[in-house]
Amino acid sequence: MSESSSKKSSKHDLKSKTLHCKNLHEYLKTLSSSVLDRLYIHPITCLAVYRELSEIAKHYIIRIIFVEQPVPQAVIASWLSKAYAKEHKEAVEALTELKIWKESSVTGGLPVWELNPVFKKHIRVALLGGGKNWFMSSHMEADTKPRDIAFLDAYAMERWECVLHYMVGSHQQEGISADAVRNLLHAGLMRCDNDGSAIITKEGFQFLLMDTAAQVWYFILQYLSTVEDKGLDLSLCLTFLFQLRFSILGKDYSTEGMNDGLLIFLQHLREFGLVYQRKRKAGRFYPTRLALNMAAGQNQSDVSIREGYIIIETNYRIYAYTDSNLKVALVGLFTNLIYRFPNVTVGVLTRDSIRTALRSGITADQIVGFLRMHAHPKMISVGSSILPPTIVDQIYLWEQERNRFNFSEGVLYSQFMSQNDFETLRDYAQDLGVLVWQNERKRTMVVTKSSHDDVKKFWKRHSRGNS
Amino acid sequence: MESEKSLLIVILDTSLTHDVMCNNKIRMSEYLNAVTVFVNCHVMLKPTNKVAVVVVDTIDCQFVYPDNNLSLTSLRQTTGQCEIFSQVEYSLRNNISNFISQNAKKDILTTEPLIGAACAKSLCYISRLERELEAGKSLNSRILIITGSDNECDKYVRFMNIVFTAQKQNVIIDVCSLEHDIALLQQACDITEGIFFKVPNLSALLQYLLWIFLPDPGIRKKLVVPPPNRVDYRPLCFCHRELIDIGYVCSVCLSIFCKFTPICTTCEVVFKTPTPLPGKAKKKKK
Amino acid sequence: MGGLKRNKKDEKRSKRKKKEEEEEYYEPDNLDEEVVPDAAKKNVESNDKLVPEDEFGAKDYRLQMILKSDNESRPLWVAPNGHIFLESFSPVYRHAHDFLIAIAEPVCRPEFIHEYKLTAYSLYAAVSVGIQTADIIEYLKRLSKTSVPDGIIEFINLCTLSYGKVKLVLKHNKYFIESPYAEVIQKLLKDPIVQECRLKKDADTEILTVQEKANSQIQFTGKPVTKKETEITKVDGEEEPVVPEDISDFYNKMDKADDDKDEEVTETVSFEVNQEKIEIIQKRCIEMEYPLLTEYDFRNDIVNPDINIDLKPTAILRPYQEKSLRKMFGNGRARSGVIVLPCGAGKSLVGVTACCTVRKRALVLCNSGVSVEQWKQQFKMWSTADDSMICRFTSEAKDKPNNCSILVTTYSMITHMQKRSWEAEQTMKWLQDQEWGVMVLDEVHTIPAKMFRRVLTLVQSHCKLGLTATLLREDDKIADLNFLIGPKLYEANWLELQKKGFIAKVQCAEVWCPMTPEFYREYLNTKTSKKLLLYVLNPNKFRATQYLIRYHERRGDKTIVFSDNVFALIHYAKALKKFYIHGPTSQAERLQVLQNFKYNPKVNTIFVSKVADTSFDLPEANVLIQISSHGGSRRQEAQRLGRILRAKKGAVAEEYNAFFYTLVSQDTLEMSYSRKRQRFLINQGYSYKVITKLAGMEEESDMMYTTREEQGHLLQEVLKATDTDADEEKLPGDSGASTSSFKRIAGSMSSMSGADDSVYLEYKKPTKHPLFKKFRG
Repeated sequence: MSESSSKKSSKHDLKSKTLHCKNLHEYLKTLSSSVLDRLYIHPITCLAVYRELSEIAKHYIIRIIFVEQPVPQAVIASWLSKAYAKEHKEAVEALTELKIWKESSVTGGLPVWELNPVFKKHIRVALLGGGKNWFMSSHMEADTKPRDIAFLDAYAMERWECVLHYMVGSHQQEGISADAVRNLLHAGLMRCDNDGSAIITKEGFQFLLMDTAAQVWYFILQYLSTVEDKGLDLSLCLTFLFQLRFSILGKDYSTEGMNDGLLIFLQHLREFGLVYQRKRKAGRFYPTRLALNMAAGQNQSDVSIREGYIIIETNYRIYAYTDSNLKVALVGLFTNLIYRFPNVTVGVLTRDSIRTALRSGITADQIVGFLRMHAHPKMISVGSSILPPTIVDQIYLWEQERNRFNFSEGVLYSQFMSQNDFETLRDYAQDLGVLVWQNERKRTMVVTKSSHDDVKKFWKRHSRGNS
Repeated sequence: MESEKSLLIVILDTSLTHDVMCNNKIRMSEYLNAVTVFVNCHVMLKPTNKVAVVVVDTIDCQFVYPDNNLSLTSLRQTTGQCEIFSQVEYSLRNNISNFISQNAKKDILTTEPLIGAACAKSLCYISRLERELEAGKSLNSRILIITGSDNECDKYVRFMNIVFTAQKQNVIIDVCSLEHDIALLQQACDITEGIFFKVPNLSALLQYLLWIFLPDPGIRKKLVVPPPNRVDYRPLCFCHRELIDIGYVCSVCLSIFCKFTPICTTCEVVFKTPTPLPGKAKKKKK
Repeated sequence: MGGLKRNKKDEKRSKRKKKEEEEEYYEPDNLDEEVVPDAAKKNVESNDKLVPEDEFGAKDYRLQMILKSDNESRPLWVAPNGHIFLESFSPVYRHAHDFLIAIAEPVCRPEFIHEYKLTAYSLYAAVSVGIQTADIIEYLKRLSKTSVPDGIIEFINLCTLSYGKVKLVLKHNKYFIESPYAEVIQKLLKDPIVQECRLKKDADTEILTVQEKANSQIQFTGKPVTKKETEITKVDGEEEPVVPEDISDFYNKMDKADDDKDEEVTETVSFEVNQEKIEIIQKRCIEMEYPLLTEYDFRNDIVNPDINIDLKPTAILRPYQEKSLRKMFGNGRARSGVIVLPCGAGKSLVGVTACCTVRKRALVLCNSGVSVEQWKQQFKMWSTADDSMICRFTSEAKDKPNNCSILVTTYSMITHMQKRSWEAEQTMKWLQDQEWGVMVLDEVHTIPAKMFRRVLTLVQSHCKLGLTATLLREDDKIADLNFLIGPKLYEANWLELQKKGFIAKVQCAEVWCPMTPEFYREYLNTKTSKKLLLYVLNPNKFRATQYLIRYHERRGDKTIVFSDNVFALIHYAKALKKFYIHGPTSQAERLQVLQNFKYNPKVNTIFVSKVADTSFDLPEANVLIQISSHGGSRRQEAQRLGRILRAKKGAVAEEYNAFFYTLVSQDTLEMSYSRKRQRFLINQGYSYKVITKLAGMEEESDMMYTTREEQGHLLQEVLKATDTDADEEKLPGDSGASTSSFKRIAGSMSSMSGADDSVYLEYKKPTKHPLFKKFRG
């Protein structure tokens, strides 16, 4: 037998990288323990961290928060019925990871969970009161021209859409600051073209199709990772963000007592529409819904900031009730647009239009998610499944269509002298689970590249034994 | 993408009996503090969790939270407490003390807290919120009654109707009783799949509330909870307000009597005199 | 079934006869081009050429349409290219829908937003049912969310101003040209050709001026008419706060206009024309841009005897049936036209009611012997007509006419060119001598124009009612119907009927069957039409069929399996041991199989070729499996779906009560055909679920063709088959079928594939037919 180790196929990474937006938990895990400790000094961060926990974990904490001694692990384990042991394990892991509690033992060797005293103290403060004041709630006179919620919503969306507009490259809106552009580049959502102008990347397209809360959070995360280079204190900025998250919509807050770093941070947030300030030095600001909903996952956000506007019909028609160029551009990413009316744009989903989108790195999941997220209220009120199931199926089928070839690297074995030899080696490879392909008649087989050495060795041993 | 909101309505009985208060089992302030912290814990769990508090005594019942009169800007934080929590605390404190002092001047008509009325009000509130919901969202509502009353409610039919309404609206009724096993409320919990719990030790009221009543129905399935009590399903008769095992039921309005009456006191229908014929068996149930 | 005995007797003879009939069908249609008025050649889409495109490649109409401030309460957008979009969730949807269906063609009507299109024909139809130009424009303006583009108003004016002004009326058995506009009559009379056709009496210039006070309100017996009005006022009352007042006011006016207009005294001018020259004058008037509307004043027709027929009191018209009839009898006279209702929605009842309303001799034409029987039954079921009044005239059942009142026959019987039997000859003669009050044309879309004209030249009738489920043909000849029969009077919305339970709720599914490697290899190497055999007889498809049949038989369903290819049909049916019907099956055998399918609990599945596409009434069937079909024919798809649409008992309970499967072999031509076939139904709001894997098929025991060997045998068999085996069955009624049965038609690819759909394709194909041009540019 001659062993030709020709490559069957080389490996291609056909699947593009999908954009992953970390949730708060994942983000916090990446922080060092010293930063975490500094964060837990602020009651508001404790609260924010608490909210991110799984439901089981939340109840664990509630149950032991007013208990002074450490609690035996066995006791906590007994709270959940046996069928949910997996969830118990996950909750315990999460709490340990975030250093909310730690394992220790009392005299007698009983293993116990001991709540992080800093965390315990400050979450109690958040809940019950006491302790230091927030940065932003210094007393001040009532605003002479208070802003209502509708105004703040409109303002926030307008500001945020500026960023998105910049990304899709429509030129009718005012530009965004160099800082914001730098952040987009840093986040890999855009890249510099040869002539120096920024153009959108594959990740950028995916970013566009995320829901607003996730977009803001992703963007802010990227911003936070550069915050220390700018000379700002990360834990302070985070704490301030959390305070914004727990602030009340439509209420104004004072900038008094904030240090310079925070004031700079505030101005950045102002640019993206997370807070509203009449003037730079106004001394008061209003948090907007963007700040309140930030990172609060789709199902957690209290009130969605905008109405759905897309109707999808079973005949692949798409009607987008909007006059915003941005929204039309977003729909146009995967739709063949036909007509523009003053308040509606008519389009049709075609195989080509979807494939164009898929080629630019957007996944079927993201398209479906986008459509579902922005579905017109009429569609939501009609039935259980918001989108016509056949359309969803078809979009996935179109995606699958592109993935009919799987490439995997391998080594070809052929020209076996006897059927017996072939079968021996094939069975061996099969047992190892490394057989990629085989043809009995032609006595040809392919094994994965990594197992080549292994199979070769086996073969040598086998042929030696035979001879 | 269906997002669920969870609404908890606490019906708080402030007409604690002499027995509860004077024997120093729990002081009013402790009682109110425990409830306030409990309510805040519910809000703390999730941003989508909503809460409403109704106070009730023998004279009146009234929503004390949410409070529409509370102005946003009037409150400025002075401690590290989160704003939403201080809002809840502030409105509860103010409104409950107003409520108590107002009612102290009025004449007491009954000895019963108006729990039925408070439930009805809560159900109206729930159905209003449900109507106002955005398309595609859903609201999970439950009612928690905290009471120290011991009497069987004298408005049996009315209360049962409210309970069945709650069952139809998928609203769970939980009851935290400070002192007594109340058959009627036990039935209400049983019908709506809620929990009836009598607090054995009032000084640990908060812990009991957090342990038993904080988890949402969804998570209750996972947690190990105390086994349900046996529910006394005997109804009250309309004539003497006594629990009965066997009685007469009006075939028109379903009123229950422990003894035969020729005319139904509720709907005034005239019955035939019972005869020892087998026909009588039909009229007689249970 | 009184005719059964006779059928058997005639069987032998009829076989021969049928063959004759089937052979000599038609020469390709070549429609004279002049038959179409100039205005109809106008195409509103030409307005589009100057429209700028926005950065996304969409036509930017924002400048031409100015948004109204109260746009939310109005339901329409009218695009400058004649497309109209209607929100179905609008509070004034009902009003808008009734109006749009009268003036525009529905393009697609799914759940939320419906699309309509203004065409010259649709406007012609609107005018002919009595809607005025000014009203169309005014109402359109009121319903629209935006301003109505000028181009559209111009187009409406252009198309309607000359239409509907002149009517051809048959009164007292004399033909009159009639018009309320004296100047139009004058203009016509100046034309030399018209002058020639005019029946001159004594004076040259005598024009009759008639004062007419019509008080006509047609009552359809069996249902109180007033119900409709009350319904509407009630709805208005409910929705008062949201409906802008002008819309509801106007709607009421429009609604009344249709019925009550004739209560006013109208002055009409008319002159009589020579009966022999009717066709000439019709053509001339079209050239002069005054197409003649034909109306039949049946109540004042004293020459033709009334027939004694009424609807039975048990016959209850559904709202949409009544609405369609109102369009026909709107002003107390009978208009000619086409009514479009989905299969199973009760077309025959509409036909029967029309006959009962006119109460003159009625001629019903349908396209097969089986449906002749079914029509007869329908007449007996819904009306007071009995056997003596109804006469069947087919190759198999020739009742003696005996001066009967209703004659039911097939198109082919009438147009038959060869020698007939003496009996048939007599009947034919009698038929030709009669002046028919109403002619009902069933499945009107299936007959080619040529054949149709022969019918029209042979038979005199006052009013023609076309009935069809799909006004849709792959070869575009549908437009001709407009001028041969009349405008489309009504078209029902499938989805709405389905929601209301008038037709079955159908789950449509497309099952993907992967080709086995051996078959696929042959498929790729074969160049001839045998490709078709390979993908139809794909073993995976066979197993899917077998599995589905078993699955549904277990559920107690009745299944019909369709295959256009006879070779495959017979192979499948024999392998699975089921009955089958195809072209050569005799009438008696067909009826027997159908009877068994209906009543025999052991016969739950039958295989049929495309003979069963239309007018086989099988109310029991609720599952349909399609294994091979006629290319990309959208009409066939709709017709086949129609076989299972009849509302099922206990219809509302389940989510779906009928199932429609199309099996396609993956990666073959079938895939693209099936896309095209589905388009019509998708536009009606149906959606196809794609099934890539049938759950549970693997667990099924003793399935056929599971092993390599069996599959190999099958492949050999297929390869042995001749090319002609791969052909589809040729049947009368096929559009574009050639004279000899084996000649293939050149250039029919677009019709095969249904490539002429107006929604998804660019319209830039060069077309050879003038009708194409104005229709879709």
